[in-house]
Amino acid sequence: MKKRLIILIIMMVSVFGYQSCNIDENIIDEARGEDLLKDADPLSLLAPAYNSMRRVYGHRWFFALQTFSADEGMVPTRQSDWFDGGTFQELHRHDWKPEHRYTRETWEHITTGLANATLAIDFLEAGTQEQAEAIALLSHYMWVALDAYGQVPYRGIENIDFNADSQILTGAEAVSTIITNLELALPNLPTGKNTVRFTQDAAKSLLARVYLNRAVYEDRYASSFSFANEDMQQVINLTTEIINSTNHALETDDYFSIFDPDNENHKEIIWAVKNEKTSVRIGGRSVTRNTTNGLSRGYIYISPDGDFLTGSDAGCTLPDFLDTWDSDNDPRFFKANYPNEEGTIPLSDYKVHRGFLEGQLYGIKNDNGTPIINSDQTIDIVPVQLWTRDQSLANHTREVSLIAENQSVGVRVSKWGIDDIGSNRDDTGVDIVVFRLAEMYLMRAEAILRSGLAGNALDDVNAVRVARGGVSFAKTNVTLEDVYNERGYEFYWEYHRRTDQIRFGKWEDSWTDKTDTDPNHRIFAIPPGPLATTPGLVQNPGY
Amino acid sequence: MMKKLLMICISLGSLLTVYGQNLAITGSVTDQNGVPLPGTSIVEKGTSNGSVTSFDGNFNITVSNSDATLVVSYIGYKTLEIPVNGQANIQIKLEEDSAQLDEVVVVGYGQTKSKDLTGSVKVIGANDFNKGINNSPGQLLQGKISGVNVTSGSGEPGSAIDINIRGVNTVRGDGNPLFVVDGVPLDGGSSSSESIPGLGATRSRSPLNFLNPQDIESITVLKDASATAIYGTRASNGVVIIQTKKGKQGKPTVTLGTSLGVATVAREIDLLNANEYREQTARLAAIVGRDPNSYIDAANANTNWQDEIYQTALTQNYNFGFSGGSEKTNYNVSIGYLDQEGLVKTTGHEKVNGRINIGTSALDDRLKLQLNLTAADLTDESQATGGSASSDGNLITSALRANPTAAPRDENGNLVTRTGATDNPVSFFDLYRDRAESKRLLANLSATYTILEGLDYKVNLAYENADTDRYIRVFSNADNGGSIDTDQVTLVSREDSNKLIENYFTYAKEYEKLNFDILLGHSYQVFNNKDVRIRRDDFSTTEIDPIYNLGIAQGNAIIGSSNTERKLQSFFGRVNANILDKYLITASLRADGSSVFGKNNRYGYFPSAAFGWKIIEEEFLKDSNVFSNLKLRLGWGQTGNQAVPVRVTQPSYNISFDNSFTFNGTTVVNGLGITRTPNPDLKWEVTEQFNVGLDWAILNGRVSGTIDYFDKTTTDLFLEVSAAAPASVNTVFVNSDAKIINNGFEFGVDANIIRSNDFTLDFGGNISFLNNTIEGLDTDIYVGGISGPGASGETSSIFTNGESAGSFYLYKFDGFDADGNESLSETRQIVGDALPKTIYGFNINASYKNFDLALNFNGVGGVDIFNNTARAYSSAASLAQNGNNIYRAYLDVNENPLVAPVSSSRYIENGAFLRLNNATLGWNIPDAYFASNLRLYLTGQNLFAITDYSGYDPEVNTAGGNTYGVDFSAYPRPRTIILGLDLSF
Repeated sequence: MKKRLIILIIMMVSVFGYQSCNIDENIIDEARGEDLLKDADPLSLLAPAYNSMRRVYGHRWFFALQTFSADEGMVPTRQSDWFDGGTFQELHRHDWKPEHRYTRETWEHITTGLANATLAIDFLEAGTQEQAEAIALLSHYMWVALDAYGQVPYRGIENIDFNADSQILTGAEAVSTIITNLELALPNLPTGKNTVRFTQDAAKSLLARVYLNRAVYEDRYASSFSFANEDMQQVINLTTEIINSTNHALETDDYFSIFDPDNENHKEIIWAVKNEKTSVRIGGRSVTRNTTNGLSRGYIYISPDGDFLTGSDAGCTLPDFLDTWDSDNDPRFFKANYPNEEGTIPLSDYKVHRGFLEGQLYGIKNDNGTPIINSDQTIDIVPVQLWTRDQSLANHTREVSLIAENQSVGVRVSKWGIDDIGSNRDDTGVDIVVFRLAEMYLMRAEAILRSGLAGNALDDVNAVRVARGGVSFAKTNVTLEDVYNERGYEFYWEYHRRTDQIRFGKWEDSWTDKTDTDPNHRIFAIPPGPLATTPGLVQNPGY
Repeated sequence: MMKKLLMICISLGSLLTVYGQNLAITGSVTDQNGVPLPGTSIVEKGTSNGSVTSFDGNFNITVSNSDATLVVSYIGYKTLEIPVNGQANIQIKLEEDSAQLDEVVVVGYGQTKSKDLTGSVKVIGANDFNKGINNSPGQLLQGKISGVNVTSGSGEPGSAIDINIRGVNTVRGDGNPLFVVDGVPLDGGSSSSESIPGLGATRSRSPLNFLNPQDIESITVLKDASATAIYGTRASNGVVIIQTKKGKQGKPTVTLGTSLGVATVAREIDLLNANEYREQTARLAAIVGRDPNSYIDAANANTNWQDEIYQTALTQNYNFGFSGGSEKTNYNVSIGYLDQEGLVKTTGHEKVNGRINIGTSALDDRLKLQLNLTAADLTDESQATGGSASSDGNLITSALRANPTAAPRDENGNLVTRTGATDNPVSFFDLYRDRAESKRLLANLSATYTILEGLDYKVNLAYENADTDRYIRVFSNADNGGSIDTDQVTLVSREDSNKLIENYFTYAKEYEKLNFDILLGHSYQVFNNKDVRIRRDDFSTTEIDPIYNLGIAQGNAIIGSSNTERKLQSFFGRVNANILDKYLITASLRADGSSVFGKNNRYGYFPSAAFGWKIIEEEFLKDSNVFSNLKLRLGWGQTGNQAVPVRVTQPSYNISFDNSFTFNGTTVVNGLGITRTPNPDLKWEVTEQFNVGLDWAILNGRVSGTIDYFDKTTTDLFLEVSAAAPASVNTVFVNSDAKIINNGFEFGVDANIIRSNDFTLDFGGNISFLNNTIEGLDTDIYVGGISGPGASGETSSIFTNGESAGSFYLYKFDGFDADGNESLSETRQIVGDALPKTIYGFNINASYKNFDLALNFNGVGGVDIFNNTARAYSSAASLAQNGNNIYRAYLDVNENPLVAPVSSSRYIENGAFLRLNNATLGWNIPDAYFASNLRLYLTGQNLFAITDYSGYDPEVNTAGGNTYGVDFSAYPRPRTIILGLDLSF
């Protein structure tokens, strides 16, 4: 009996001893401390806000939304390639659905940018340069959201409460908030020239853009916009300040150098989203894809590491757009880096052509994709022909349709530099240009023409044209239509076209395989996921 | 031995002379055929005075007086009560209990007699398992239990097995049940699958592969909530209880088993042969404007690529064990070795495992101790198959679309690099290697102490460890014109371990009109999962295999590791009452707290109640000629699903490269940000189930069966939804208001058709009808990424209101129009069901003298498959533009080769099938010298399957997780013939 009792007691003790087992979760492989925030380097706090720009400005994101929905670009379906569930066809025909993959992903990156910028504003000390940069970046994300989606989730820049519902800004309120915030941050932003950081010039450029497009944002679906003179005056003032600051100068020698790998602090660029080979990869959304995806599958280009890479026959441009060009005289149209004809050149001289690749393309002689390099380190240049798919000759005709008849139709665009591309086709040092001096001139010209206020629009347009093509390339008179076209020649495939087409009332026009006229398609749909969980977000009309 | 017997007799004799009233009885127990039954229990009714028969069926017992009654019982036989009436020697013959009502069934934390069950529970004993080469316990059960759908992911050895009990009731994650082995709930096992981007990798193997099917005594499946609620937050998908073999009292038995199996691809896919390929490409060449000769490879051969990559696979299996026991101690020791080649060359599965089960008792049988220890060493060699592959990187799809006019070797006998639009499939065997080595250990020690009569205390300690190292290596072939441009080697090392301590009290009491037992317990289990991942590119030499020396890779190393912990604490209790042996009541409650739940919702409470009515015991049926058993069961309960990933309820800030920016030059400044939107309210999913069942038996138990109806609703579905904008991380985990409802009927029947001396014939069958619907989702959830070129971002399946989980959501295909273009619906719509509406199985067992035959069939109906392989490559455009070979089933001369195919219902096929799962013919060789049992058998697995599906096999799910019924590059299923020998002495 006694023995039993002892055993019983021992067992009871062991049972009750375990009653108070702790089941709090212990996270051992993540540093979760808010101590990280206390002593963090301000740059560390600011980095995510800048980093998100690389995603927003990614190839299938803001780039696709601005380029492939407009009349300057299209990704046709080539046999079994690039159909991808219809995403590119929908972008082109303007019949995208709310769950469209790239409008959804772009929205997600914009809201991440908004959140990261807001977090940085909260963590950084008020009045510092870094906090001003965070406010300016927030304003830029807000501008992208407003331009593309018409609704901006906003948490303010003071006494930020992350647990409260955000405010959804639209129209006039969104515009005035952006303007107020930028003006607040402006004095603390860095002065002078720096294409990496958000300088005062960059803030002024953004302000100018917002004022210029204000009429659109405040009355989105109007059949014609009325641009207020006060807004146009603001545009003129701001752009004049930037032009007169002499911080920047128009490029005169090589237009394409603006988009080359070493374009950081290029004299014409005001602000760009910086890339380095050491930057965190965003994979197939890198700025390199703006060019490489469209190159022919038979067109070999060489990476600095010696890899032989080819294009993917994706995006091309449209005949409707090309027909507005003076292709023979405009140096922005095409720059041959080697004679585009049969011949032999040293291997070291071989670089991909720039600009529009029209007609039969010539490239490295190869045996089913393996380049043939002569023993004296020269290469033979021959007509480019695909060795896979339909094995067509890379004759990039102007004529192309949404369901392309073969891999090679459609003029390709090689604007963004790929000379330093990594073997993964993503790593690059090309900075993504956001604001540059040419835009200031053209904005000023447009504001003058729209308002009749003091200024010389012709001089402004010619400033750009002469810088590009010399004195003979100047115009004798200029209308709004000319400014629209000049923006096309200057900023093709540079994240502007959709915004310009809407502002100039061209968005509902028809072009190759696009006939939609619904003004509701001036902005994209809010994706269903965030729509369901964010209070205050409503679906845009027509979706 | 004899000496001991003599001693017992003498002491009994002396006892007799001292206690004159007592009566010493001797006797023996045999079955109807006179075969002795060792281990039969003889108990003096109304007391605890008992004895057990020895190896030769003899027993001795001293009863208190000559009017006592002996209760004689043995599993599988009807219990007999024999009045002593002064007899000193009693010969007892026991009759087999066909209805197995006295069978003891293991339930959660205890056991009950089959006739006293109130829940929907089904037991399969070792004799009834599916025969053949089975890697995982799920395969042993396939087709045997109504309502339980067992699907292999693919035909690969050791492939993942999905077991869905009564439908799918979760959106995130898979629906596999909780496995309990010898009382230890197992960790779910890792579900990650590493792969090299661009080269496919398969789903993880089944985590239960470490068990040796030879060691398993029985598998019990708990289907309804009243049976499973005792397991709380892990029980929503049902519970599978596995009991391993323990030693029995008697002389030691040594068993030896060996088998040799030969497996071939059961059914190759019907592709175009070389001549048809030449014909079709010539026809299409004109339309696309290509030279017809451009499709013909220089080798101008006639290659059957499937023959080039598949082999006849051999399997060897050896098992050796010995077991036995005395009155106090029993033991069972076994070791097994399995070497199973895969159908794809260079693939295979090898396993060595061992087990020691020892039980003993001390302190006058008041303390019972049991140790179960098993260890296994598994090696898997795999190839680049399965999903997530770019267009070139998959061995099986490469073989399916390779140009039949190309040959694997050139005239010098060297492997060519490209064969049409793909890398040479045969070259993968040299270029790609995927080797996983795992060690598994499961140990449990339990001690049961009888404090007072009827009051037991049990403590159960367990330790489980799974350690896997997986190496994946690929050599690049781009220098020769291939598509793999970088060398890569990846090592993933995972260790999952858990420790369990449980203690509980049980108290049982029998009165004349009422029996009851109570269970009260506590359990604490800690899980630890850690992994290390290393990846390196660029090999400096190909002389040695980098998996043996990672230093050979000279590129940048990408290194990562993680370490997480989970804790689970539970309190549980149950009461069972049996009133008048007619009315059964069960009630249980479990409180589970888990560290993965948000701090606002740490504990969940899971009640259940069940009522059983043994109608057969009622007066009006007691002497019925029709029914020999009739029982009604009603059950209700709530169970939970705790598939919440670790950490997600807490916020996380970190400084990382992912958020970095290069402010100055190329110097990276890592960014500080939020990496997770926390949700401290996160809790378990709740499944509420109601079950009505009827157990019946007629013709004296010759025919018996069950009928069940169940209805279960799962709420608080755990979903990853968009976080409220603006958020640094775009998603957050929530418990949504959506519901998944599963209901249906289950029928099972067993019949002993013929029982004679020489010939027996038995039939068993089951069928279940299931209905699955989703309600209350705010936004539709798209799952199941479609693999293949031109399908980037597309999904095949949807979770949406009013439809079954994972239904196929694609454009509807209506044939080709006059121009050969696909005629499609405007928008996508529901075009198929990924979950079967009907599941059935039946078996026929016959024996004649020394021969026996067992046939097991299983099948499903009302289900569709999305043939992703065909969608990716079998279109006129694919053949004409790229020269890919296509499925003959998808050849249509009306199709326009200039237009890309769209993901549509064209690729949805009927997935219904009936399969002869396994058939065994056995010969029990009589009078085999020293052997007490010698059996020779021939087993065929997957001898035939009746189906319309054009892929390798209609039982397929290469996606896993919450996507069902998708076939992308599935490993083919084998047809295996096995010759085996079992010997015991």
